[in-house]
Amino acid sequence: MASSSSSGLTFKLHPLVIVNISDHYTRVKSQMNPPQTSSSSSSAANNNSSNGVEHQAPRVYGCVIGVQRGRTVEIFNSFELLYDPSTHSLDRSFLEKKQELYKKVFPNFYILGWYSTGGDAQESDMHIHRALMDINESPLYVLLNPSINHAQKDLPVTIYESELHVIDGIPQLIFVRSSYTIETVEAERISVDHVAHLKPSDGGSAATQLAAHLTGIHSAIKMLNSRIRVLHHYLVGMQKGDIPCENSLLRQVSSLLRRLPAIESEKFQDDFLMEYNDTLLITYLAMFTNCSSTMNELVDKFNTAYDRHSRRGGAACAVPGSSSSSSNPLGALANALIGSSSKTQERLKEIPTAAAATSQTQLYPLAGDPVAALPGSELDRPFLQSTAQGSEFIRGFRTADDNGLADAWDEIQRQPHFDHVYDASPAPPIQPTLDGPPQRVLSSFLHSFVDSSRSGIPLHPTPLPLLGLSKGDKQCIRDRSSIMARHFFADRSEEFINAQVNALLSSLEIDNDIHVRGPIPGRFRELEDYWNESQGMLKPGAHAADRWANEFSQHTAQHGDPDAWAHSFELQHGAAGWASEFEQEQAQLTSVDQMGGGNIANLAAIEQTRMLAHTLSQNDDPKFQNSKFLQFVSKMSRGELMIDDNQFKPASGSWATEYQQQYNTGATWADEFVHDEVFRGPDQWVSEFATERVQQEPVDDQWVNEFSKLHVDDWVEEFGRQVGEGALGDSSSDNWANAYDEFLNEQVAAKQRSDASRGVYVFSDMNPYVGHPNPLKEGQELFRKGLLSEAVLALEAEVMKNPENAEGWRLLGITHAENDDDQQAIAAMMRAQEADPTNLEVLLALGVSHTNELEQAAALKYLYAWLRHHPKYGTLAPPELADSLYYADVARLFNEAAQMSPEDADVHIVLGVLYNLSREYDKAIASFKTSLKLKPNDYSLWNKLGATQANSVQSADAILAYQQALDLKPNYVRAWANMGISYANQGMYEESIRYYVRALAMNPKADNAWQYLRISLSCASRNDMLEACDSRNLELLQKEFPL
Amino acid sequence: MANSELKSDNLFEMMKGHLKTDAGKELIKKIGLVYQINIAPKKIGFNEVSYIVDLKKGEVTKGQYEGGKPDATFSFKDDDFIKVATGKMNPQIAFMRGAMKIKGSLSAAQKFTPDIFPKPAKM
Repeated sequence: MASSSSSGLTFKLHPLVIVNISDHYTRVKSQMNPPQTSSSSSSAANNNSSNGVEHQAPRVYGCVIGVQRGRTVEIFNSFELLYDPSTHSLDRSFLEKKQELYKKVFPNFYILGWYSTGGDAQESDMHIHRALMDINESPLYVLLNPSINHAQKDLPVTIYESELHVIDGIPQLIFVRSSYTIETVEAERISVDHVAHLKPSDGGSAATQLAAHLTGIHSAIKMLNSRIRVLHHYLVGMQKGDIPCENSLLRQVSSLLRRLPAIESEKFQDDFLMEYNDTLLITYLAMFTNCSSTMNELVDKFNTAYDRHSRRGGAACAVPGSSSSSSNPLGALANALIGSSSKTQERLKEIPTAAAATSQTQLYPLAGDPVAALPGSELDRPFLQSTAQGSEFIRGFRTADDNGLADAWDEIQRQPHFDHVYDASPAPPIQPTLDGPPQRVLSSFLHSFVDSSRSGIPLHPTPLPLLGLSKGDKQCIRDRSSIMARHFFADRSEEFINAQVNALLSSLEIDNDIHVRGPIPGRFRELEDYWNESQGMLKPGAHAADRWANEFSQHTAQHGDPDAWAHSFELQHGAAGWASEFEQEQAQLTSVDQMGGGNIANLAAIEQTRMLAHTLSQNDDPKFQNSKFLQFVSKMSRGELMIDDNQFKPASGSWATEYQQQYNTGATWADEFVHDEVFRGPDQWVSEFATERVQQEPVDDQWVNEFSKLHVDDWVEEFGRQVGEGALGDSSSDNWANAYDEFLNEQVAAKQRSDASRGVYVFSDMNPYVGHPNPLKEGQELFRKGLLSEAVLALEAEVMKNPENAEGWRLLGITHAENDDDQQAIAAMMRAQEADPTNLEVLLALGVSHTNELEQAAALKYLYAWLRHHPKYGTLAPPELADSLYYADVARLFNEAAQMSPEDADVHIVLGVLYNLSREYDKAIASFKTSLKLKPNDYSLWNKLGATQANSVQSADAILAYQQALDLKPNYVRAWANMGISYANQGMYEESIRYYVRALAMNPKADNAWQYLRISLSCASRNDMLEACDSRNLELLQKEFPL
Repeated sequence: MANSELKSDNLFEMMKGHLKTDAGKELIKKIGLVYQINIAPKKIGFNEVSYIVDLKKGEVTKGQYEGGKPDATFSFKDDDFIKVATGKMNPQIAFMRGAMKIKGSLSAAQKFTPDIFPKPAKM
């Protein structure tokens, strides 16, 4: 049915179409469940099973699109279509919809034909084909054969054209095969590449993918090779005359072959070689880096294991020289690489947990050095792996007979650090710049010495050419070889060792006479020195980097040229990585030390702490900073608490005890802070606290030191910074800042206040009235004038002059009370009472002040004392009652007194105060009103009435009373402040601010008023003035809130 | 009147009256939360007296809250509470020092400011 087409069209098929069809087919097949195979598309396949299509195989249908330019048809893309089983054709409406969509995306593409799957074109296909003819008058049919035939090399894709043939007199459309070529564009190449690389398992790593890729290329090249061979055979045959000469074929062959030398140019060779060498070098470098890092790991592990061992054994100084490897990766690497492994192995054998290392992998077969064995390989799996890789690589490296490779190898070998690696027996390191014969000789000689240690064969003195070793070198060799020998021949006798060493030394013409000290049985002195030296360096304390620096400089002195090492190491790890690695190692070491200490729980805690600290230190989140700060704040706040409890002592000792108490009793305050979600990172904080705690457990003193170092100023700054960063949290940060300011103010005032509350009067600084001839008189005068703050100073001067002057103290107390400073008033009154215990005014004032401070018991005591000491009512008060005062008793007594003399205003005043204590405000108001009738000009009485009314929620009446008081005494600070309170309690904050400011203008020391002012300001939404309030800027406030 | 009486009792008594005034009603509108305040004479957690400051209904009651759970619970020492309520100590400072402990909703706790308390006038 199909023959070669005669239309002369050239078909170019893009792989995308093939991929699409294949994908479509796979999708449909995998979606189809076996019971449903008989439905829709598969039915077509079933009907045509005779064509060799598998019974289960579904048929898929789609459209191919592309462009036709002249006689070239390029098939770019395809889309899927639905098969309509009812008409045995394609779903037409669906096709049209799709076509429209594709038209939008690819306006240049036309529908060229359709595709399907199957073995061959079928009769029924013509049906579909015809249906498409109204879209494209000569559609083409792309058929993909999904059944894989492994013998077939060509693509299982055929393109058919339809041709009208007259068969048996009837014109019929038949399918004819057309030839086609595969065309790709860049994008397709990439995608095809990608598809080709997809592994069925899909779990392959980059390495396996690379391997697959390389395998693919390899097989392609093999194929090319075989094809060329075929051509070659053919040409040879033709030359011999076995095959008839055919010019057209020859022309084709020649044109084919002309393409081959395109890649055979000198430049290509150069580039190729360069690439090849580069790759090898990089691979080698990677391998080497890997080796050295595993080496480092090994050293770490060894140190850990060895340290533990020596601790358990209790031997302070076990195997000499061990620390040389523990803290010196240079030596460790050399040890590991070269034959000193014997000593390492020896030590490993001593470790109970670590099995002795016996497997020795040849790392550097190239070096031909039998001692280049690695100890303890099985301690470390990756190590072993890398070693195997390394040796394999080296082997490959060797076998490669490429010139460039050899060059590269030589080059590498000339690298200074390689000299070290290969030659670094304990002999002095070879200067890379002096890569001359003496070094080579020396190195090989030393190798033979080391070899002899392995075989146990005595070393014979050998005459060597003049090496020109310096005296220092000789001494170095002597020392080292002695030490080495002792390790190598640990199982041999002393004489043998000496003989060996002597043989070596005499060969090297090293005068044994320098060797004055001689081998001391057991241990060498130098050895011991070395040991001690490195032990000392191991001791914790010095910063890791410093230690490294020390170590390094030491090695500079010893080895002469460690720079090469430094460079190479830096290349591999970077300076930072180096330090961190060491730090890690150090951390491990310390933890092991702790483990040696015994306490397992402690160890776990420490380990955890270390990890915590590590994570925390890595966290650059401001939260972390924050938490640290908070921790400090809480510490401080703890301290502040002490101030409040009047126990503040500047000595740091008390801080320490406080802290310890805190620590012992309250892990709770960590919990307490957990609740605080205002802090953004409470968890960190807690963990940090835990960390701190664990760390500080053994070193509470350290905490004290740390704390004493921290000045308040420091953390003021820190706080400021934190707030600046906004680390404290969004809206609350202002609050916190303010809170902190307040806190500072408090701190300033704290001492003062604590003294005052203790009843100790605090004198003002810089009192101008000190030295005044008669401060009492001056004070009385000022008090009368209403200049209360001035009066305070004058009276202070008086009581400083005459501390026993009860009148001075009393007046001072009253002045303070009127000045709205009850703490100072109480303090002054107590001094007055000391001087004159029975002064009724003093006792009353004390009672009132304590009532104001809500200190009921104290107030009751003084009011009772007033009664007892009153000449008239003293008889009423039984003295035995003084010890156990009950309000009811006192109230009863005063009522009796009031009945005794209803005309005595004072009794009514006291009764009013008493009712205030019991919050019987109505009665209190009545009492004050009664006494006011008797004493209408007592401004303090008006104020008492007002205060009582205010407290009983009659603020409006209270204001009238205050007004009376202020009419009588315009500078009555307390009344002004009370006015403010009344207004504030009525919600008239603006008003209240004015009164507070007025009160403060008269007495800027009235702390209460400042606090109330602040509250009123915030309630009145005058946050702009808060700052003025906090900085106590009265001028600004007065200007803003004039009365 | 027993000696063990708390200073805070006075304040809560005042509060009862205060909440009935216009200023108090303003507070109820503004805050509308229920606080429980535990006052301890000497040490937080010991011999605490609970007050419910109901800023929904405008009531102050002594004892446990009946109507479910308060929005926030504060624990103070007597002296500290007076300091906070009279503005001598900022609630945040109090919290930082451990003078105040908070349970419950934090947003509710943040509305707990000294201005919900009436100021005692002084004689």
